[in-house]
Amino acid sequence: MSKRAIVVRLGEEQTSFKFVRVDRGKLYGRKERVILDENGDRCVAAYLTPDGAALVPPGGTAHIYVDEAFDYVDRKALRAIDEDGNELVPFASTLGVAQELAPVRPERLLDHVISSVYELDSEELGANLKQALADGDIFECAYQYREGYDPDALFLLENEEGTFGLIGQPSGFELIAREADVDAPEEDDDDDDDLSDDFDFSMM
Amino acid sequence: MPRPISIMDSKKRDAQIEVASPKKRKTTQWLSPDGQAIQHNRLIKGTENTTYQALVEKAGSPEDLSRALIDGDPELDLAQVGRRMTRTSRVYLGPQGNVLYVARILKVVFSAEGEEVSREDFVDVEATVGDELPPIPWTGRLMPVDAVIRKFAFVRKLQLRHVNGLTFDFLYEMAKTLQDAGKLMYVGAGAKGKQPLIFQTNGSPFRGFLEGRVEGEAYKLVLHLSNLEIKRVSAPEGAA
Repeated sequence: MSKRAIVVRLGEEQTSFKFVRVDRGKLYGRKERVILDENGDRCVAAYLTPDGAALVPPGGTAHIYVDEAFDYVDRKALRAIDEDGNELVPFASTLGVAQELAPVRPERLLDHVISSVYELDSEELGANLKQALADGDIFECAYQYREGYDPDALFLLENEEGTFGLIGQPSGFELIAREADVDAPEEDDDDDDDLSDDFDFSMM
Repeated sequence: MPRPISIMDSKKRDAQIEVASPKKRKTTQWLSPDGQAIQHNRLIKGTENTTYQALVEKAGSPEDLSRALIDGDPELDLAQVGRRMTRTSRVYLGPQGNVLYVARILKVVFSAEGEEVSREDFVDVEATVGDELPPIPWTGRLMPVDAVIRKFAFVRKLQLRHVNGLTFDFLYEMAKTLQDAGKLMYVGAGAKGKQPLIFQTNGSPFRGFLEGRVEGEAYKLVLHLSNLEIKRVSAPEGAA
């Protein structure tokens, strides 16, 4: 069994999948915005500092963590805490480690935003899981690609193309009542708009 | 931030409501080993004067540059290196490192195999959904949940929310209609709902599926958005 495999357990049976990410580029191709100069030569993006003193070309930046005294802190030495100040314990990667499967209804999948889709090829496939997937059942287990603090959900399902793993995070949408204070939405100091994305002329 | 859009119900009545994105995940904060708050910083590492081409040009030849690197630190622009990058402006550099004042912008299309298919002048693609655009029509195209979730990956979601008592009734009824049908409704932009949903200029186009749930006097109406089908990208193992 490969260490870089999605491993799941249903009852006493263990199943191991090799996986390949499904993305738009591989399915449909991609579109790129290219900047040319007056001679038709390709140009690259760079940054100009506000005082005009430096032009920073691609690869000219470094990302670091610093403390309150602006002293460098190694990324590996960082400690994670939650919003209440409690120390967080990292979850290990789930790859290569059997995760317990639980059957779920389709609505559970609809309650998640899908961030990745993997096509799966089984290295060993339990007979019960094989039958359940063929019957249209959907399963869920925990998924974490590398060590981190907030594991995702992996939804296992089958369609006419094969078996797939959909990685998702809860949308957090709740039922809304009439008396909900819709004029005062939750404050969100993050100005990122979920629909603001990089330019992408997707083909539809 | 919620944003306004217009949508139509099964009786072809339209109303302006708002859509909200999913809640952010729980925030993880970071501390140094001795408990100090941590900041992430982006610093200048090199400038246009310290690229390989600039250094070779200054030294005279790659061999001379090698000697200069042994003898000193010409690759470090000491006046700039380590400066924090804030409020920078985006510029484009030509092949000689010159700043571009006039640029031509092209759209280049590549196939799934990576081959260039076409190139043409870039043209803005306008949004198809917004408060000043025609409402998203009620298509009535209902599809089984089980079939849709196996065909499309819903990579974005928006919750439709009322803005007053009238739009509460409007959206509640839509949610109830969809729940009673037990299906998702395909939605798109344009008079017949056949255009992709684009929420901002040059934004990603999506297919949309509307889901409704009601519980007592509360409703949940979610627009599931997809630009990715659930398909294999490689041949199944054992296939020729």
